[in-house]
Amino acid sequence: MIYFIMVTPSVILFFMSFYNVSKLKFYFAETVIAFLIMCLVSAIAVSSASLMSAPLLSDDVLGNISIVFCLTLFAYKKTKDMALSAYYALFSISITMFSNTLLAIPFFLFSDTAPENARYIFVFQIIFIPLAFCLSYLISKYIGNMLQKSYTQLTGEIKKKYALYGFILSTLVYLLTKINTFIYRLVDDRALLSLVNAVLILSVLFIAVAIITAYSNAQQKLLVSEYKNQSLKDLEAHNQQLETAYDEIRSYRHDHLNLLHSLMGFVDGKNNGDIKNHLIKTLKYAEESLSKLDDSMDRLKYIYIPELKGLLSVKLAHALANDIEVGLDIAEPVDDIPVDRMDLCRVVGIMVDNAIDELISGDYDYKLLKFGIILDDGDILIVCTNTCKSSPSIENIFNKGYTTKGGNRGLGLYNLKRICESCQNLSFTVYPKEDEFALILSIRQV
Amino acid sequence: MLSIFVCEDDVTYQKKISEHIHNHLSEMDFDIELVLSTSNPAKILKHIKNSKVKGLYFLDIELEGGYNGIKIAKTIREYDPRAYIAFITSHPGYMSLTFEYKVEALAYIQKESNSSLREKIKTCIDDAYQKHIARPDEGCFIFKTPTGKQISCAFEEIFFFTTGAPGTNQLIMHTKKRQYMFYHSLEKISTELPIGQFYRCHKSYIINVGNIPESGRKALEQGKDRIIMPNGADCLVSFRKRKALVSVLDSL
Repeated sequence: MIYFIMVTPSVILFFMSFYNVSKLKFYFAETVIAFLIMCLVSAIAVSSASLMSAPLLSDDVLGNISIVFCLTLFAYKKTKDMALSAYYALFSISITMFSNTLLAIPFFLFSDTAPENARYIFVFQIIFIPLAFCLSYLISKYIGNMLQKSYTQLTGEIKKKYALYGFILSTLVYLLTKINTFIYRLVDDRALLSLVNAVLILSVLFIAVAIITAYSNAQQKLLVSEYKNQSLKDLEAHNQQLETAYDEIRSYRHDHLNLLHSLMGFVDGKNNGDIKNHLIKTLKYAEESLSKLDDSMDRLKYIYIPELKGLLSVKLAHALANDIEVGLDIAEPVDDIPVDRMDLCRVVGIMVDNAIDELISGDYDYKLLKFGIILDDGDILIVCTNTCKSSPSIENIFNKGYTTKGGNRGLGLYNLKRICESCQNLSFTVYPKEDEFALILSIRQV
Repeated sequence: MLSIFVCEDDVTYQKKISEHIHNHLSEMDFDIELVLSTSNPAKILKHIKNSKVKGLYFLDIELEGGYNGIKIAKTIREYDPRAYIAFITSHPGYMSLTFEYKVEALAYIQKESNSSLREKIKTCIDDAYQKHIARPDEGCFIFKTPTGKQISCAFEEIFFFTTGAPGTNQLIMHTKKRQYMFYHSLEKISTELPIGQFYRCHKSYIINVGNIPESGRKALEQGKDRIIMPNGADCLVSFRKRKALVSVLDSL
């Protein structure tokens, strides 16, 4: 029973830092049961250790091991990952031990004068326990946040590896402190040793956290670049397909018109007026509709940036499908735009979407979208205009949530502004006129 | 006085244009003269190089002999910064944005039937003349871009100047149509700008007081630290300059 009360404060400490480090969610009943079990197990461990009095298996080593064991099992119930649970348990123990060791320094410094003074120890305990509690709470919270941040970024295989590395590292931290404690039993200057101990644990702890964070960051970057490469490849393939399809349509168009014209030759001069009229109409229609197709999309061929070309071909096809007339003004080859491709695509996408949205949702008789890339002595202007009835209020259009279209929109131009603010050579201007709204993106050569 | 220049290599079309211009000018009592009608753009450039003209130019985009109407327009602007330029093209309107934003063309005319050509030329001349008398001798801000090109921009067109990337002496000029970046310093620029129209409202901003919108004045009176200009860009106003800027606004 005495042992049970003795271990309670340290179990509370361990449990709290475990909670902070692992960030697992427990029910109240679970917590209480786990807590009682841990107290019981460690009390038994400590009592049996004091009976055996073996130098390596001292009471606190056995107590620690039992607690680590309990915490691991406890975490395993939630995470279903042995390595990860053990790693959480060990890490929280190391943090607690660090705060204990740090706080033990003044104790040993002053205890030289009255080493076995019972009252002194009692007073010290009263100060010591809350202090240790606060310190381990702060450290575990901070480190826990850092670890969780890096952990949530990971996926699949890497997550398992991460847990394993974490486990190995935290075992090392723990062993180190224990070896240190073992030595300190043999040496006199306890204050100095505590200090050395504290510094040691701290540095190893931070090295461990730093390694884990760096590792997860590196993995994250690798994933992002892989993803970027993959989507680029997909886009290029898609473009290729579009261009092939486009070529096919063009050759078909040519054949089609020729066929119609040859039919016209048959009908001509003979006395079948209806067929002739019908054919003339068909021919006119074919010429009109097919030439429209050619004019609007043909100028995309001047864009040599696959992402941008893909984006525009999709967006502009969408516009055409919604009965919007598209005017493309790309007079010169565009092969290099000194802006991150992702940002460029996002910005251009927002500009075109904004125009299309307005044209579709507004009630217009004549819907015209003009898009142009204009090279001007090193500067590049990307212009997107749409017909509009009344120009929106300039002060508001870039605000988050402002929209003329109703519903849950209004993020587009706000994002546009944010992206432009984060790129130094990117800026935009709006140019509202009576019946036209233009967004102009200027890209300066750097 | 406004001078008209025509550059078109299709001689019959060129004659048509000149005829329409003459007809319109004789009907109206404008202070305009048709100075030159040619198929060779070099002649026009030579003419405006040596005399300070203010001109209205009708330029064919596709000229013979490797001339490009847009390039010529840019050269013309170097000599005659406020030139009114109208393009003539047989292509459909796909280049409209280039005309508007790269050379700030007054209009572009598609080679079509006779009647619509006459109408369009009339409108061009009327437009240019209205603009010409509305701001008779206003100055221009002239600077060189990093690529060495000279650009001039009417003071009236400018919203504000601000500093670019920190650590460099980049400046960004916000105008009604677009933004320009060039290397200069705000201190030096303020000596080149007309006092009274431009005001240093912040350590990194010079604003064109004439272009502050009504909402900007309200913002100042409400104690806001920035004015949102009609192009959507923020122009910062420092705390100490706020009242002074309002009084400059009043004195306009």
